[in-house]
Amino acid sequence: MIKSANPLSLFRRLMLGFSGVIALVALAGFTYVAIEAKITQGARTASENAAHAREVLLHLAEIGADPARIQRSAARLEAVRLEMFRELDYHSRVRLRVWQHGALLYNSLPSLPDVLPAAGSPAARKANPWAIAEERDDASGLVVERSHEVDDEWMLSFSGVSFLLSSTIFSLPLLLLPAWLIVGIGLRPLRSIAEQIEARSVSDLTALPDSPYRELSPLVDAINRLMSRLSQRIEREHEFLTDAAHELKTPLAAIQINAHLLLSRSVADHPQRSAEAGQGLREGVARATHMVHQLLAYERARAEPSAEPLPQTDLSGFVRSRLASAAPLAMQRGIEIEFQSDVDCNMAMHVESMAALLDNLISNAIKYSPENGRICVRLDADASVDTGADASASANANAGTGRCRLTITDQGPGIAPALQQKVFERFYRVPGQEQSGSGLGLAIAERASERNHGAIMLRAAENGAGLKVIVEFATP
Amino acid sequence: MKILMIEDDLAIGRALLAVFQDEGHAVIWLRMAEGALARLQTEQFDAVLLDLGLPDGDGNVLLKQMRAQGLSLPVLIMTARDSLEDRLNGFNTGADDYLIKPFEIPELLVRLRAIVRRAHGNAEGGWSFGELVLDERRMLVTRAGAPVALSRTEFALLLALVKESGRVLTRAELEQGVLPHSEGQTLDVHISNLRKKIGERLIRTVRGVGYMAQRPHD
Repeated sequence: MIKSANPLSLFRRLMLGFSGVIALVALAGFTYVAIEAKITQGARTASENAAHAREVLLHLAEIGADPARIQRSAARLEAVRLEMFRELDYHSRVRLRVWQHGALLYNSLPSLPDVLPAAGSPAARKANPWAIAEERDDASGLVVERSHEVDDEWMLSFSGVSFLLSSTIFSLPLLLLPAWLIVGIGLRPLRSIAEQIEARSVSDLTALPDSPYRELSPLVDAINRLMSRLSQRIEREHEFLTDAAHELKTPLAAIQINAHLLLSRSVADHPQRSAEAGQGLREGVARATHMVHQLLAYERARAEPSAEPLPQTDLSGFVRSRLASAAPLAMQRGIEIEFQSDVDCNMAMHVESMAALLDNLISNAIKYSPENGRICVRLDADASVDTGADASASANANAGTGRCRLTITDQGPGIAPALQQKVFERFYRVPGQEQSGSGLGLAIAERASERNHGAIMLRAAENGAGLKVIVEFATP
Repeated sequence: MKILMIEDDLAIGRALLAVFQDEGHAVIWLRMAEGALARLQTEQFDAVLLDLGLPDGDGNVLLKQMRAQGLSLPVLIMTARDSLEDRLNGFNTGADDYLIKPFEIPELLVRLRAIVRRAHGNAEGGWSFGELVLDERRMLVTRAGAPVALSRTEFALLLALVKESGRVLTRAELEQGVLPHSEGQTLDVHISNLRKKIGERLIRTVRGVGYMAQRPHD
């Protein structure tokens, strides 16, 4: 029914379960019948045995004091009984013993021990129990003892078991065939969902129709949720690719125009123009290069968290090393960088994305600082948080016990409050500015801070102009 | 300067060849890793410019072989692989510097000069920095020809800063590398003493971060 190559099969599972139940019920029935039969057999044998003993005594009492006749008579009675047992194919043994005035006159089975295991006695557990009846007649001084072996071995013999189980065995196909059909029909909706998914094209990520079956709708819902997440993600990647290609076109166009100018005849005679075109070419390449680096950084900052734990790293030392590599650039423009840190924030850090976060924030601060401006970087570890109404910060408010807060303040033009959310969108650039950029810096910073369990927010610097970027890291 | 360039891309190789010739450097250009080792063993080069993605193998493998054979000349890796892991791997293999494509030509020239200077400075034991000349072996410093008396720690600090001039050395780097047994304020005290002896403006402070030796004209 379901692919036979599968190591596990729902169908087989259901069928095995069903067969198991049948077997269990049959076994319970068999056990009940066997125990019941054993009890009845014992009781019946006991009462029959008592009646036969009395019958024998009545016969023998007629004879009176003639031991020889009593012996003959007892032997004849035994012979009759044996004949009947043989005809009925009974294998139970019977011992008949007769005494007169204390002397043993007859013993049908002299080979047996004197005392036989009575029903319910401890000895009866090892051997078959015997039903024993004793009758006495005082007038003739006769005592008749009849012992009948209770035979319940038959119940456990092959013929007994097969007799008892035959009904179950014969009904098995009658039970399993309908079960096979019912299970097959019951699993059909599952197969139909599989077929629907199978028949889809790779690009078809629309939702599956809701299943009318209560058991299947969670599966269908889960698949639909996955499909919707996938299609959103593919949509985003598609958009990103389109945007990225589009954003690269602008610097490439600048390169193309300047290359054309450089090669054109009119420029050859004007060294000034030629130098300008060369400079334009360089700038275009620099912009395209920067864009490619930023695109890669953006992609890396997003990469899904890996399974291995992130190394514990001292944030303070890390910030210091990133500032050290950015400082010469700032110095060229006379910008002073200062780092204040009273604490070492040890945190599980994804080093590459943290570097991207810090580098982007620091290079933004340098880029937008005025000549001879000042950039102040602070790192503190405190619990007091002035998040205001910032949703992204409160989302992480319960993420850990301690938190480290990194603040980068510059004296640049700042970002208008209305744009402070907008600037995190990729490729968004604040209008009316002269500095070139990829429009990805803050988008990278946001992703990278998320990856390091941080939340990033923008504020106006306290003393007038400038931007204050705050990154709060939960350090669990 | 004589440079061995191992780069398989024709456009980049040709352009770099032109740049180096303009700068007056002698360049041997190989487009494969094969034969590079033999060349390095028979000829004297000042530096190796090494691309990583070569048609007949990884540049890192060649670098490893070079170091294993005791070739200690400076190596500058230039590659498009820009992940942190790649960069660290490059340095661990024994590269002196790592330049990511695409790069600016002036940056390439500056870095190339820097690694060659570092290697030569080490070999001769002498460093010049503005008016200062440092003799690493004899631990002597002269300023405009006149000897300057520095303590052992001050000399070590100055040497570390001068060797990496133009780069900010963090407090941790200086404390661990130069002042392993001093703590806290002493780094600032040493720098302050040093400045009194060699002039205020040669060492720049990046507050809270570290110090940088800066040539007066940089």
